[in-house]
Amino acid sequence: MCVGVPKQRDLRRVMVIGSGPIVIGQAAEFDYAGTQACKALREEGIEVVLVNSNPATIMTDLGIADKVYLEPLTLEFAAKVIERERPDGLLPTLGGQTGLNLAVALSEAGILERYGVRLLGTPLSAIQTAEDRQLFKEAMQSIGEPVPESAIVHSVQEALEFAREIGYPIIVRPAYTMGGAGGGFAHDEAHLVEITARGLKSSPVGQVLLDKSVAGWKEIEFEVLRDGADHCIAVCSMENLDPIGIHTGDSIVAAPCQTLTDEEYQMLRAAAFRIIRRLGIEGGCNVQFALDPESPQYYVIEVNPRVSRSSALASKATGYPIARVAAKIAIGLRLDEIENPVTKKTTACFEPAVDYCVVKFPRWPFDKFQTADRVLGTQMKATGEVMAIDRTFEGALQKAVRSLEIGAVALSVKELAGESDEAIKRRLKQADDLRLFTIAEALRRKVATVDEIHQITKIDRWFLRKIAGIVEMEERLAAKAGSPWDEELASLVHRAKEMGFADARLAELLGATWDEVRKARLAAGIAPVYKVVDTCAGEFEAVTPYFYSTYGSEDESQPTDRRKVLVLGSGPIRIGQGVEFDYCSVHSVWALKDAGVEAIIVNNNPETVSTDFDTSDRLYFEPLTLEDVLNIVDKERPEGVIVQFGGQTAVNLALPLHRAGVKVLGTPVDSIDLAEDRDKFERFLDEIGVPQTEGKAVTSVEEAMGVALKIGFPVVVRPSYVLGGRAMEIVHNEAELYEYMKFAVEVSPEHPVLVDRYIAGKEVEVDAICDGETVVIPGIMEHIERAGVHSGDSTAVFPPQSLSPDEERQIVEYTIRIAKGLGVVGLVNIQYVVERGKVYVLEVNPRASRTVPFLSKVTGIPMVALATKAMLGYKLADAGYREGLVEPPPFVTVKAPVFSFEKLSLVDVFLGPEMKSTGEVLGIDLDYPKALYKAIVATGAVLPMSGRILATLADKDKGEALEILEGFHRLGYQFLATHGTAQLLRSAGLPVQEVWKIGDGRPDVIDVIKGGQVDLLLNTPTRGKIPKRNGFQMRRAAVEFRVPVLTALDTARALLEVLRDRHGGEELHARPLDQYLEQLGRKEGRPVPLKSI
Amino acid sequence: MAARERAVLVLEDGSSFWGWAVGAPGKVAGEVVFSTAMTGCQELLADPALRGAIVTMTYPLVGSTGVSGGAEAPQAGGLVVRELCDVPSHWSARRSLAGFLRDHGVVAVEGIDTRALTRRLRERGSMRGVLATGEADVAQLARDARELADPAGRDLVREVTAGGAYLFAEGPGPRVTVVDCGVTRAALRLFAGRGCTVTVVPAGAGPEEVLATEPDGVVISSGPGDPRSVPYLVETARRLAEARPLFGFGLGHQVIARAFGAETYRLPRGHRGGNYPVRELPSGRVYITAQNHGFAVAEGSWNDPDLVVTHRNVHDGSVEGLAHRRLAVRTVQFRPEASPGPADAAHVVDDFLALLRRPA
Repeated sequence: MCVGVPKQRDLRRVMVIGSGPIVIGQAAEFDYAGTQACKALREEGIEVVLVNSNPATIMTDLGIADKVYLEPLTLEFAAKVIERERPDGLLPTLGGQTGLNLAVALSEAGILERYGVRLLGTPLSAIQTAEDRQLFKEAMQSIGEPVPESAIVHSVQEALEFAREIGYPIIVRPAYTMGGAGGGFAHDEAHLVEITARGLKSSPVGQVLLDKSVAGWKEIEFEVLRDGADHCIAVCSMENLDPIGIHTGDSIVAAPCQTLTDEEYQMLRAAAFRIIRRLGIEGGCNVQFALDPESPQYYVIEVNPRVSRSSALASKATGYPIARVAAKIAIGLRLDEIENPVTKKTTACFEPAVDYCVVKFPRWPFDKFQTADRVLGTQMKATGEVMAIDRTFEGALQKAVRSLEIGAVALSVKELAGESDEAIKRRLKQADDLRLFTIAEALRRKVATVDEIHQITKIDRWFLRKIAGIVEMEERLAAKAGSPWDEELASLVHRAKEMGFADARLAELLGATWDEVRKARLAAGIAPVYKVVDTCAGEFEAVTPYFYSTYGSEDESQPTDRRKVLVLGSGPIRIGQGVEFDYCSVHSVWALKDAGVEAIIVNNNPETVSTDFDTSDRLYFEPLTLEDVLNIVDKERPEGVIVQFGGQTAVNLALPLHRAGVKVLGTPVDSIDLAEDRDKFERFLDEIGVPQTEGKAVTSVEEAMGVALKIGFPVVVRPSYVLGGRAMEIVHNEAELYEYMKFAVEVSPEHPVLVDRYIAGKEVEVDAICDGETVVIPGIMEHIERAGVHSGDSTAVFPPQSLSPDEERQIVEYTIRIAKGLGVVGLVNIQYVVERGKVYVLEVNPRASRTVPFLSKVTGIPMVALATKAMLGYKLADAGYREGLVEPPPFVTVKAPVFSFEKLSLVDVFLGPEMKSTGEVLGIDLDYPKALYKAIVATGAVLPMSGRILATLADKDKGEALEILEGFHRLGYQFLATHGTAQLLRSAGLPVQEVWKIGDGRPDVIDVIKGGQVDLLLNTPTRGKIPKRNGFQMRRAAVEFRVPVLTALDTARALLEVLRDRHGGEELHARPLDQYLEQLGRKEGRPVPLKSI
Repeated sequence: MAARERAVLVLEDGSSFWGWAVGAPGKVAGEVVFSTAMTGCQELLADPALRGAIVTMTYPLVGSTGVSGGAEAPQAGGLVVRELCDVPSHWSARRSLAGFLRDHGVVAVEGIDTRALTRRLRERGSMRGVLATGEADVAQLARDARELADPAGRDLVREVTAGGAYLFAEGPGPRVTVVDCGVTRAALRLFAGRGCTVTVVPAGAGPEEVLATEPDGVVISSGPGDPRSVPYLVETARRLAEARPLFGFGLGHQVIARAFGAETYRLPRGHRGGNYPVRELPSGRVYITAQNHGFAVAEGSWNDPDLVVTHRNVHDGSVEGLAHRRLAVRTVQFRPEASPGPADAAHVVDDFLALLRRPA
């Protein structure tokens, strides 16, 4: 009876390729997908070999895969892994575009064939057809699926010819790039020339696709799965609020589709099936359509033949585990042979029915990148996203907004409050990150009607009316300001709560305090209920406790009477708060479960492992605000809340929760507060005898000047309560300080600004675990770049390579004193600067830091688990841990930052105290140059083994730079330089070709970069930030033309060391993580495994 | 904002769900069923298989695209939703769903925790209920609901079948006569679209009347209610099965099964929605189907060994299709015409037409 493909029973070992570092367009969703896939494969008895250079991931845990290679995702290293592991199969469709591209490269290089590795799941031909614009177009035409008129061009000339045929606007997209990097929307010839030139450069195949623009049409996505027996199912449909023209990653998305008739829905679903059948996809796939808002006409826009950000969203939106099912399909299982783990009664061969509405909202990094171009288009700019679930669209939308942590509790942002009506109207025309808020503001001020806004934005009236409804409710509430809480007001508030109004917003509108609103609301019996996400709209009983809040009549959460703890997650991925914190949250959950404590998690990021259905005992998909968390606490009554692992998102809730009478586990809340209060902290350090850099918290410009003059310029200035170095800067003189103060005080009026002496010393970072009695320091990390570059952007080396024993002793001693002094129970991260043998504290973070996953992984010390257990009362000593620094390993690891500069125009790439990186990679090897080499290669940089360096240096750096440049010269590199630097080189007898600065003559620095004459740019900036400056433009040009840029001499020096080593020609090896860790196991004094405590 | 009128749904177990009236005023009693379809409320309400039922949609936002021109009149007696869209947004919308309901006298309520209602129906099984607008005596309505005649005993087909025979479409293909037990236009189009000449006859038409239309094949359509309440149709099916290739779907499937001696039973909760996986046993393949039924054929309850199960519901294993080894008889429980829902398994119609003397 059974037909179709039998399970490939001879598969014993399968290699999975991860997606590498977090960059714009490729965030945590692939950790989630990869983790699910690895688990799914191992359930089937398959040994999993994982390659991923991103240490901040759950998937690279030894418990998730059998062999973990933290090696660069390059052809060279992937081939080495294959040679060593000899997998039977390779699963390429779970590591995003990175994984897919690498699989294609391995196949094309003949590596898969040579080692007899089968490509599992979707065949290569399908991937190629989906990715190659011309093949795709032909494939679609062969099955009668309409595609927009398009052309593939290899030159700007061809692009212009196409434009003459079909007219503007035209969408320009480079082939084989993720997140639409290098693409854009051309309205005229000048635009077209510019975008095409850039696109040709960023496409690895030098191909650019031009599309007839269907801007303004509805953008509809289907997540579909197909198995080897040709079963097709549609897991979820999604509708972008923002019509075609804005990248789906930058669009607000509703799931399921809201404005489609059944006919249209079935038409597109059937088309999606025809397409995946034609392509021969076996696994998950995302199909994007443009649907005419005025007729049933549609176009197929794009197909992603793999799991994607959208499939992660679809999984969380429906409860259907797409990655898990796709992995099982890849090894030959049929959809109807796979169990639906949510109901345990049904199979994976069905289509989820949802009985709620889901809204996804992108999180953009413009708060960090003040100068960035905020206009949204075909190139994705968001670093992350949030998702919210409710039974009303308004509720889901408002919950999503407050999950973003952009300071908005409703459809209202401060930034627009000061704008004139005219400006608001003008802003409607431009799609930027504030568009939703602009629309609400326009409706609020009645400067535009729903119809007018529809005309301008093309956003469907259905969505606009919902926004208008929210605004109307605001008015009705505001009209009740000051009224007593009678039945009428209670009924209005109940309706407002159904529409997702936060208590904070109600307080604003009703002219009451947050507390008053909450009390009155609860007294009136207005409290949320929790419903289950069950894949089947309540038709079957679900076994997975995955909840969302809504205002309805029945609560399904049924809390248990077990011992339980609530873990706060970290919200959307953003600069400064990445996937590391999800890693920490997940490990905390696991530790709780291991200790027999019920683990409850609350988070709102659909891309994460923490929000997977089987990670925690109970999952609440909710905003991370005080109100939303308190509601869960009221319902669940946990014995405490853990705030240390959810980044600043969770830490910021510590004090409010504490004040609301909720027990915060671990480090006392007073200590958390103390670490963030400069004055209190200074007194504390004085008391325990730990030196810190000289400085003071100030509240006025005058005071800042006084302090700066006293301690001397340069000074580091930053507002208090920050994460990721937002608005932190090094200022060199009074004028700069004055400018900054005007700006910074704007940022945070209620919090003072810190002014510290800037020490250009060696920066060192420590993560420690403390149970209140014993302080264990798993490792000290040394930054390659000296203090001044944000720790998140620094290249960190572990163990340190240049610390003296005395410096190390001071660091250990201070760490112990601080941890004990603060009464840390859990984790603490401390940053130090070392100058002339003396160690100063820069910063103390009484929470998990972004280095915890990396350090845990390479030391084998389960830091989060130990910290969590310490919070539960277990003692480190009982697990065999001793106070002090754990003996460093005999190998070297380097954590290197990864940036997404090519996605964000008008952002300066030079590194300073404001964090700019989006992700990180690890390099691991037996010595420093090899580990650093791997780390650099893993970032995606192409290291020129010979070639030309364009050097333009600030005067202050010239002395120090000469020695480094001479080093490059000895390795055979040639130099291009601007006048001053050229003089320097000549004076040292080094040959150099002089080029002009911009505006002084031709060829200038931009010409040589664009002309492909530069293999490496070494530019130490005098001052950054201002886009018009010479250096800024030069660095941007380098980014856009994919030339590696170095902006710190320390990085250049390290690179020189690496290249010297590489010129030595010794072969590099790929080694699994457990092989490194084995070396630790043999050493004496290692702690016993965690299990015993 | 005008004061809204309250409305309440009361179930026979005494539970009540208060909301706001959004359809016609009045009171309606009927079987309360839920559908998990996320689109196509307009089409669903027009399905005669839901004749007189009070339908609740599990998807909370209903009516966003309004009602298109040429929409068929609703057959359901009442509608229960979380939220009904009052201003539709769609190029094809001619009017709002609320207005449409009012015009057709369908009582409707919004503001209900429809998930709570669905869970109640899931746990307690199908229930009778009363939906009433205005202030109401819940206890009395609960008694009304309990006293409501079991729809199982009522011949609902008589209420929905065509008044007389008519020609639906002419084509170059085979002649198909459809016994209308509450057939949808989409189902008729399924045959017309394949080139058939489609004649529709009322459910009460006997075998002679059906054969008088000179069919190459006969179809017994879907429809409302309990197949036990339509013995005349079972008799018609018994006689036609020997005479002509016979196809049945929905109620038609149950009727034909009974004609071969099968028993039917009420499902603990109906199958209504667009996401039911059905395995086609000969090929082993699973299809996602649209379903809208509350009764099913009891496995192995017939004694004709030549009648074999061809389709099975993957979730609960219930019988979803039958074929006769000797006779050209084919049936499916699901709705091949979908609408609303996916038409992935519409090929069963082709399979049937292939059996005819003059195949399509």
